[in-house]
Amino acid sequence: MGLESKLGESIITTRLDDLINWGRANSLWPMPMGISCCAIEMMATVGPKYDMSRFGSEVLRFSPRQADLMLVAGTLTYKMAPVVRRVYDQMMEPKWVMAMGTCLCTGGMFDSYPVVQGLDKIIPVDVYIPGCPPRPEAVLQALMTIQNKVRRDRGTRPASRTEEGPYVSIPKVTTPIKKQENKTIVLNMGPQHPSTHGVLRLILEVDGETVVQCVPEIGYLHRGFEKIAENKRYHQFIPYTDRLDYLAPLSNNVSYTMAVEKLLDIELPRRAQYIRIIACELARISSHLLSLGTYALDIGAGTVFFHTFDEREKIYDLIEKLTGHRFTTSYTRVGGIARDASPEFISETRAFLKQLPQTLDEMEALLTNNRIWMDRTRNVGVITPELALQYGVTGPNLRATGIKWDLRKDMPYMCYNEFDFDVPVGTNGDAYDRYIIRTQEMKESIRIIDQALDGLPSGPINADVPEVVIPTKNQVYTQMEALIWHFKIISEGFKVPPGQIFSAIENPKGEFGFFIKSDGGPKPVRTRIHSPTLRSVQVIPELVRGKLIADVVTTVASLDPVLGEIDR
Amino acid sequence: MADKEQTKVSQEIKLVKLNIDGQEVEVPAGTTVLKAAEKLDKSIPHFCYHDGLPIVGQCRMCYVEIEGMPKLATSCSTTAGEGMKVHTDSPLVQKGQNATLEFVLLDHPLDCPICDRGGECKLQDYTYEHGPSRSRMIDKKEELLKHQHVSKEVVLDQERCILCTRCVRFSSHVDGRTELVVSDRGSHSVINVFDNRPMESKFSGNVVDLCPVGALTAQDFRFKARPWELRKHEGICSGCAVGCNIEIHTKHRHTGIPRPDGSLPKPHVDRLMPRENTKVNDWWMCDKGRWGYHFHNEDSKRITQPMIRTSRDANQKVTSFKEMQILLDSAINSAKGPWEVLATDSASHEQIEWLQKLQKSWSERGRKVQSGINVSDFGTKLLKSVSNKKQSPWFSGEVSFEGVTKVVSLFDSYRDLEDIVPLVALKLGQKIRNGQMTWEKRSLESFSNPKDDISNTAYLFPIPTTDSELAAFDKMAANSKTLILWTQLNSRGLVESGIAPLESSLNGFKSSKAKGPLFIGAQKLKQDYSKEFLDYVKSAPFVVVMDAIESELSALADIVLPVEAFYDSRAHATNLLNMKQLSKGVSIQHPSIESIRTGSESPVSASLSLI
Repeated sequence: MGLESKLGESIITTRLDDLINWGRANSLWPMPMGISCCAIEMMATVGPKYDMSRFGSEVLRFSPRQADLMLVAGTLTYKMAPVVRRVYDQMMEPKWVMAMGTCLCTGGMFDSYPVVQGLDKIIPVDVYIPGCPPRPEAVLQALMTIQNKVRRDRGTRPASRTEEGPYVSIPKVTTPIKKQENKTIVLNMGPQHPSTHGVLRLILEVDGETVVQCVPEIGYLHRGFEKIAENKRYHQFIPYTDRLDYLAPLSNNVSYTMAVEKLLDIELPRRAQYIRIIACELARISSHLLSLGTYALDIGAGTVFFHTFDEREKIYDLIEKLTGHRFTTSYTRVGGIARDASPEFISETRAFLKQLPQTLDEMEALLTNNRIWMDRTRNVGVITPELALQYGVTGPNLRATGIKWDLRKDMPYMCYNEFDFDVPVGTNGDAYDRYIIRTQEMKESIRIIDQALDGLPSGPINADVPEVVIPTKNQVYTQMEALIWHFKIISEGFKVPPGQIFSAIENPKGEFGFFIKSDGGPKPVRTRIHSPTLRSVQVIPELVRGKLIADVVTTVASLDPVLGEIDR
Repeated sequence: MADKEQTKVSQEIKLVKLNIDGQEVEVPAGTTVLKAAEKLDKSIPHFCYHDGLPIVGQCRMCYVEIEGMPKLATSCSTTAGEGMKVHTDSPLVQKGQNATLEFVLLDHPLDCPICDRGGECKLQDYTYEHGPSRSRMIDKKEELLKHQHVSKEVVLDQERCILCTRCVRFSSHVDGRTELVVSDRGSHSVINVFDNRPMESKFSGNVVDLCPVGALTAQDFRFKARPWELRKHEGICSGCAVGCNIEIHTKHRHTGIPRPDGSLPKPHVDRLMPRENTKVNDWWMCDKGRWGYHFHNEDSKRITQPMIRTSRDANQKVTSFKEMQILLDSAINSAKGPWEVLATDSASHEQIEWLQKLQKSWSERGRKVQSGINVSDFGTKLLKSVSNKKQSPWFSGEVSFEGVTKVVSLFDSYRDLEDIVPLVALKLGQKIRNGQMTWEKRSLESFSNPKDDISNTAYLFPIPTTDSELAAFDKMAANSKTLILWTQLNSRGLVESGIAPLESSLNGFKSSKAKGPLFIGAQKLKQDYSKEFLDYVKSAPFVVVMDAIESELSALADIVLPVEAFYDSRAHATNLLNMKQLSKGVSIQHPSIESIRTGSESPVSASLSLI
């Protein structure tokens, strides 16, 4: 046509809008605003299996002024809302917003006082991704939706969207710190920072590069779990436990149901105990893999992240085979588990366990004797045994100090005493030791799962307590009695005898326990969650005083906090 | 004579002592083991037993073990005996209950997920507490009639039925029409309406309440709500002058949290159920009251803001309290005659009190206002005779039909009362059919008869509307058991407050025209207003109506003021048996209720007392 025929084959013509939109759509620069559980799936989207770089958007960087796509993931609390709003305001026009997860769509399962009932209450949203959390495929779908939206753009967008909202009143951000010296400056690290592993806020007073004091500020992910627990029947609360330590939902499930089972005095069948142990240890490997991947990433060794996330995806596949969900599993039931382990799960787990040590070796080859790694981590964030005991630090962080304390050995629960495994301990209690401990623990977990698969007993997966255990679907569909019992257990809930219990298990991050008080009704009168990493976070000020800012990053990453469980 | 009776009574009430699960309990002779156990707070599971129905011992659920008896006994039909040793939870009893439930469940359909009763079903409760957890049944279940209408409002599902015959006994003994029967025999027995004739009972809703499972359900409530979604509020039925004690069930989601459009969810009445009160309605209520609540849910007809019209031809429009006050001010200043304050018969005691206060404050401020409420010549006379404290104690006290063996009225049969005072008809009907009472129809002229034994004869007097009727009433009420059949919620309450009921004073309005402006405190419930009254209102130069729901009366008003609806508010009403009853109402507030509450702080009060 006309001009084009004269230009020859090497030149094409188009409209300027299309050209700009084409460029924008294929180079969307996401600004990750990872608040809670969904952020982990967001990371999985960037990981090797789902590989967001296929869409030109792999460079997730925490710098609002360069980004044009805000990828918000997690539960938005009123305390966090002003931070999200401020970061959004700092982004340049044009900008797009993706709300990942039901919490950001509607408030989701957290219909509680601290939670903003949807991201659109504070900023305009372009695409909502339902799911709790959404699978990475859904995130990619949403990304493509945004790309389509960008391609269709014809300059009709309002010149500035910064004027829109917020539609709820949100508090002002305060900086609760008293400066100790004059020439220092106050530096905020978090709540939105790549190396605070969630929404931990560290308020640092720094003299040049040196930290004078550090005040950790928490509560940005306070979702009111303990109050919610009082208003839910025992079974209803199991899905909430997934979202506490969202790096090891299976362990949380086990911990909670174990506490309820102790109140009810229920003995689990051995098959259920074995499967729970397999689940817990898979969760431990998965949690440690994430911990080490992000630990290395924070220090600048990005490769490890891709190695560990590749393995994590394999574990997610196994967990999905076992529980039906890859992330938020809600796998346990009071008196047993939701479904049995299939033969495929068993064979695939065996195959995975054979291959995993190889990857761990590769990872260790990258780090353990790496000069830079050793310089960055050795003698950094040293927790002495006394300090650890003072602050109640547990888990790998405690064992790195040389104290051999592991609930699986020292207060055995389920059938852990039947397994042959070691408890690795460190010597210095520094960041390097914590890294070593986690690598060793994964290897021990492999041993435990191997033994559990070999000795997996046959038999029922639920205790013979019909007033508590939910009848199977098949029974409900064919038997009047089972239907009625199912109806009553679900609609009214089983009654738990009056009493109180504290029961903890060795989670990947330390002692994770529930205190439950019952007055004989179908709901607990009080549930308290004992969170291991809250203790680790409390030690941070002691560890970073007089150190460099870069050491703060190392320290926090090596302590492996998870805010879902700290803020509760 | 009184002494003699006393000794007779104490002789009759002999106490027996028995032992239930190791605990001693003393009960009057003749008490059943089930009731004796109840005294110890032990609830024995039962389907067929009901306090208001004859005992049949049919469901076999209330088994207890009595030492010395060879087999398990049904506690509902076993009379407590001196020295009895009863076990309610022994292994044998548990086995018996378990087996009974297993039999009941053999043919029970798997309907719980779609059954209205799910969640408040006795069969579910007992199966979870006492029954088997899994089934041994391998055969096919019996297929019977499902969702068949036995009346316009009641739906029968024979498959769900456990044949406790509560509904049959209600139909034959309480209602007396014997419409529901057990047909066929043995294992083929089913409940059905006799000869496929639909139920005509005016109390058919009670069989739905009585049904321990979901075999009888109400069309009105089908698939509306799960019981745990409902909030239950104690109330008084506003349908007639009996004032049945009821429970108001409402469904609210996210109470108090505004919807996306900013509106607040409104309390929505989903069903009414009777509350036990043996002085008034026993365990029952009538269908008219039970299903006559829908007017309450019509949000579009709710009056929540003041409305005015500037001229008689204009339409009413919503306005602010301030503008309403300006219009009222000018109406007061230009009023020719004195203001007349009226209260309808369904206005609660609280509303009447408020009107009295208003009237007092107006007269104190020198406004032209008639003294008294509902003032008319006839009304004054009526009030004088019905509120005469010299009337017989039976009339001025709490009315009870205890000891009455003869009822005299204008009607052919007690059935004719079912439309006016249904629960009184139900109560009298049971006694008449049992032979404890006789019914006699007389014309008003020969109402009183010297042959009557006035100590045990009750006279059901119509509302006096003429002077001669009033004279007849005066003559009788002084020394006999005479009851006026009021028809509206609080007619009797008005009398107690020194106000003539509006409907009976209509005589005074018939020929006259209103001289001054009217201020009417109304409560539109279910009744329609009479033409005479509406004509009288039309003749007034200016009309103010306070009401909660739009009606033909509020349509005539120049100013409409909002008040709380009866079911929404905490209100008192006096029924025709002269019992002042509290209706706690739906405690969840109507969104704009704060602005319309008739308290001293409310905008309504504030704007009116400023005038």
